[in-house]
Amino acid sequence: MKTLSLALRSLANRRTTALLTLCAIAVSVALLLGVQKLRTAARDGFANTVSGVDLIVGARSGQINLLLYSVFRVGDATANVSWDTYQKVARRSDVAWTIPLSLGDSHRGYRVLGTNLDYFRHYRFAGGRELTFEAGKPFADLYDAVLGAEVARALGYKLGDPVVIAHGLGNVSFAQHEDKPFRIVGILARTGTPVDRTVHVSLEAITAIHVDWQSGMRALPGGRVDAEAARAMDLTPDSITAFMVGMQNRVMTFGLQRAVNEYRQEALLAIMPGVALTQLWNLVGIADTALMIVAAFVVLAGLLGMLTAILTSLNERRREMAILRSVGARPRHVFTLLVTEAGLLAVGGVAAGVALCYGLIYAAKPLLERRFGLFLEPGGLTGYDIGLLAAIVAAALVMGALPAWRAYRNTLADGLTPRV
Amino acid sequence: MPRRTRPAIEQLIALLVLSVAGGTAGADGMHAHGKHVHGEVTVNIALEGRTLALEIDAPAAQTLGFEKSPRDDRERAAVKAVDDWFRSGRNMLGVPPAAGCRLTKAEFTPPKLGGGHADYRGSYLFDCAAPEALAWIEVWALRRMQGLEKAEVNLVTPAGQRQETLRGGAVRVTLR
Repeated sequence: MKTLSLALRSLANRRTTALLTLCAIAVSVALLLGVQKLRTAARDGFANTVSGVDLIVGARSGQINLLLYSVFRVGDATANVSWDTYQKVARRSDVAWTIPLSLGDSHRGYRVLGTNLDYFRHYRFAGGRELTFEAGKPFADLYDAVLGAEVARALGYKLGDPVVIAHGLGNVSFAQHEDKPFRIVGILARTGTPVDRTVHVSLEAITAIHVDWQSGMRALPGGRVDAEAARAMDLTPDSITAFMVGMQNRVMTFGLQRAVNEYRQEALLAIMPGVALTQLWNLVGIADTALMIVAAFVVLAGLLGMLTAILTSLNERRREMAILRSVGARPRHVFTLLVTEAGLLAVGGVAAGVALCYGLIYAAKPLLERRFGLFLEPGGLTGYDIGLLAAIVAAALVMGALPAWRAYRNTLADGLTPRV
Repeated sequence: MPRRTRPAIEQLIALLVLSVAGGTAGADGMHAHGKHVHGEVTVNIALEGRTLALEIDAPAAQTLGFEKSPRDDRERAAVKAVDDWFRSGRNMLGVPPAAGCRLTKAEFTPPKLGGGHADYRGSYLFDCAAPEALAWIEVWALRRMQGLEKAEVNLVTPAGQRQETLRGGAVRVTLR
């Protein structure tokens, strides 16, 4: 106890250096903890891109490929799923609901998704959150469109604005469906998922804008069908890109997955989104490990700063040590004193770092959600966090032993004859 | 280390056989087989309400040690033992006793040995009196497998879907 108060007073005597050292440790700890919190948030956000969907079915390709185009709107399908097959699966008794997905067109670089109203009813993200409307409502008319939050923000759209869909995926496409413009009837609230970057229209609308197209070209003027005439036609699609499935009972998931994968009429692939997300994260998760390693080195730099500060102070403190020895302190007391100092600096730094990190998270939370759709739930310190912090203090104590050992040796050698 | 070299050779043979089989399967285009990778076992676990479902898909190379038709009494006895085990569904899973899980249904069709690849596929249903007590599940079946490289465990729980890979004798997955 005596050593502790002595260490505290000694630090108070050199408060500027001590405070600066403490700040360096605090900043590095806040960074490490922040990276740790961010990567947990990123991983959870990633895993929560889609939730509540039991299976995604598409043409047979790879698990990750299907996940990428159906959920992340990255890449393309190798083939389509026929409407009959889709209906066959959708009508099974163990299937509760399905969401058809029809991709392939775009609007100024944003993907257009043809789907039905079940999308707004059943799609879930971030552990069960529903899609909500920032403004407007789901599409009702054939030429209605619902925008994701990011599309509306980036392109400055509001309800009632017209939207022309481009054929294909080019940012600047020469093939426009300008004869059948859409009207914006809804804008979704930000989700932090690829939904934000999607233009949603009905499946029938996708068929309608393509009725007079053949082999990627619009028909010649004589064979064209105008927007109103298309309404009278049968707009049931021949095929869709993929579909999502919700099961009546989760236990049936594997059974349907096997049935789809072994379906003989069409080469299909059914994936469990959660499993495919795990596999995808294993691929991209390397980046976040790298970030963590960098943060760990920053902490190491902070601790080295502390080590330097204590070591440089040793010379100035020869007199202090000598006085301590003269009033009966043993060399091991001097050793303990210096290790305690390092410990105090580390504990103080860690505490300040945790406070700093949480302060920053609370301050930046609204911004992160609004701009990046990153839902940061700071939560408490997890066991892993506490382990990390304890490791930092332990490392500080070990490092503190170095100057302590020097001082110990010095007090043995110098004794009471300091050269002032 | 003679035990480690044999599966490696088997894998090589399996690869050769697979590449030939792959060519012929591609010809008719449509037929899809489940994957068959020696050394790899697939375990599906789903939990909904009180029902815990388990599916195990293992190459006979892992359950029996061979995939040909049994030739002598010793091999026939081995086949019978594994068949009986898969049919009974006993000692497939370990769960916390507090969960009170009881096997209610076991489904198993013995594989055709000797016709190329053979897989043991068992599917089991358990009724758990206190499913909230299922903090973890141990796939005990893996302990009886031979030359096991890894087991891919697909989990479907109220918390979502997840995949875990068990290696090196590990049998436990946590459910939270």
